[in-house]
Amino acid sequence: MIERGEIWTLEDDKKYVVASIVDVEQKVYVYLVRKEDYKKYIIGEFDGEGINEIEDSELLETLLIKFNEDLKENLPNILAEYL
Amino acid sequence: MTQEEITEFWRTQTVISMGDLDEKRFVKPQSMERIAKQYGIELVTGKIYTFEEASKIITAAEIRKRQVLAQEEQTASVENKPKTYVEVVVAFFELLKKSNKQDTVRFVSDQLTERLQGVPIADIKRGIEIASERGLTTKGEEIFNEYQFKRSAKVLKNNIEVAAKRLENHQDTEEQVANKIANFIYQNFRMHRNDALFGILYSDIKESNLPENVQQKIIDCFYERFLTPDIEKYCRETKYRGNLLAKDILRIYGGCFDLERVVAIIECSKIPNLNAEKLRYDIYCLDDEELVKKSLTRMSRDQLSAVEIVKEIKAEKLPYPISYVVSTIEKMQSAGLVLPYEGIYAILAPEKQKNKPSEIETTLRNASKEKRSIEEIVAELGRLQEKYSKEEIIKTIHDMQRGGLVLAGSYEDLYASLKQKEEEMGLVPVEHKMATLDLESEEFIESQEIATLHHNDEIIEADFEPISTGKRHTVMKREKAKSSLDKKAVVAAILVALGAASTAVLSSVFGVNPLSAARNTVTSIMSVASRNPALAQVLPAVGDFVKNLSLFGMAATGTIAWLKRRKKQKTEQRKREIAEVLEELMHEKEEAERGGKTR
Repeated sequence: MIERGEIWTLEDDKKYVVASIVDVEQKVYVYLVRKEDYKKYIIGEFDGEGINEIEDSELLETLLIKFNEDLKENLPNILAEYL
Repeated sequence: MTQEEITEFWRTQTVISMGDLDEKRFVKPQSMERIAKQYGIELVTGKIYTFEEASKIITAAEIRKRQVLAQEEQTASVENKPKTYVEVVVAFFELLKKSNKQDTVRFVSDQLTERLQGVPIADIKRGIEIASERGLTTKGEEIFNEYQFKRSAKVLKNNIEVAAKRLENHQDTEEQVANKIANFIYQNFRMHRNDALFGILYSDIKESNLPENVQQKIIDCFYERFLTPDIEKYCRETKYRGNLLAKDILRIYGGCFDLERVVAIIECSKIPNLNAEKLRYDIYCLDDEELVKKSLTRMSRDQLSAVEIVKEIKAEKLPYPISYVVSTIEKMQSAGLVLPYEGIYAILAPEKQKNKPSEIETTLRNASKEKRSIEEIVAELGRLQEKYSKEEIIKTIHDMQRGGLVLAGSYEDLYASLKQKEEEMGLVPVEHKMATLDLESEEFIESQEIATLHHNDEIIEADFEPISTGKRHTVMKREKAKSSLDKKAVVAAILVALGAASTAVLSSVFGVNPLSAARNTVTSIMSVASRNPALAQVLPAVGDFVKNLSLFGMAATGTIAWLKRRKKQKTEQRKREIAEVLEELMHEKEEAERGGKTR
């Protein structure tokens, strides 16, 4: 079970915030933002152990829309929980 | 003379005993007359004064004399003492009057600030008032206001230096320093809410040795305490609405202020009957229009030829669609701008015809003229979808609306209706998708280089990261944010993610310029932030956040934007080639005409 707002450390020893999680066709996709540098981010499929970055541009477009909706929907909860 | 001295005087010199009449001592009438003369006293004729009576008379006279003397001394000292500050100010105006500079507000206030340092402000004020009363200046009030502003600005600079030192010596905390400066600004500049103040304030603070977060805190204070109430008051009190209000907002606050913040303030103002969303749209459109107008005015002033103007337009010095530039020229021509419009049009028109969406433009113009409803427009546009993509159509609507075209609905409304219709009819539009990514392509590799976007005369460099590299990342550790610092970092990261995603969607779905999209997103997020005070604390420096977000917004759509730009560059290249040919033709035509005249 992944939660929005979790902090993940990847193999490069960098920390990323799980900003958004969406399900598309029974797959889990995550949107990670690097904690120390918000300009760096990863969008990919999470398989339980790691993330595979998305290469399919059509899927990427779909995901961006879904992430946007998810972020908007969950922002109030995040603010309530973290502030 | 003291009472004792007077008594002694009488006893020893003036008073001569008249004998023990009723055991009273009397004063000689001659002596009494002399004394009366000396003090200017009137005596009762024939009366012989006793010593006590004479003593009372002389004491009273002496007191009167002293009072008179004191008064005279006071008058004399007033006349002889050095001039007061008030008089110096008045004398200064007398001098100014001689050189006829008494009403030059800026010059006089500068001189007062430089020359009369340390003079109490009340004296300056009184001096200016007297000078005005005496007719030495007609602009006393303006001069005083300007002087007061400059004086406070000067003190502010000193205060900032002192504050920076105190901070360095650990005498004050960052919080204390920020509060002190903010309070000073509030107390001294309440009456001067204008962009000149902000300009001075901003540069003084930014050039100071104060840490960046303290600087930002002070600037935030300025926006909170000055700009917010000011804009709200303005929007509430202004009777007119719509485009005129947007124009005014731009005129008043568009100089030094951060337009994003101005718009965010309006959006959060909750002013009754104010369509903030519409106002925001109008402000941005007008802001763009202002830039085009400025460039066109410059071209007019420089008396550029049609060919030169077209060259500038093509060189993207005016980063707007040609149709928009042309319609702005049309508008400005009618307002008196002198440009070789016909020449420009002659060069641009053939190109416009070559533009694929001209059919869309014609349809839209007719729809506007005939005041068609959204449904009617959508029905017409639906037919065009056989030839053009939905994005192309929407982009044209967007461009033309920016150029002043009035339609029954906004491009967003029309997009939504088109999409709905498409779904209802099961239409599959031609070339529907945005540029796709080809990871092996030369374009993709180039996209990793620093890309530059031109917008509003400013160049913003964005470190475009590829959207995806296809890599796999292993998650080594998962944890929940525990410390307050981590929690803040999480919220900030999520806000940035939201900004980037919104920007990407706006850019790819609506075809909005990535920078405009980022700007739009920033505004929305700033609105959220300003409604939630706790959120402001999350953002260590709002300015930086906005900057990062804009860049990030562009980075998010970087690849798409880059691909679009490459496409555009190719089109522009083709257009340039055509323009060159046209230019040559024009040149030849001119030569031929000249030749004809000569002959």
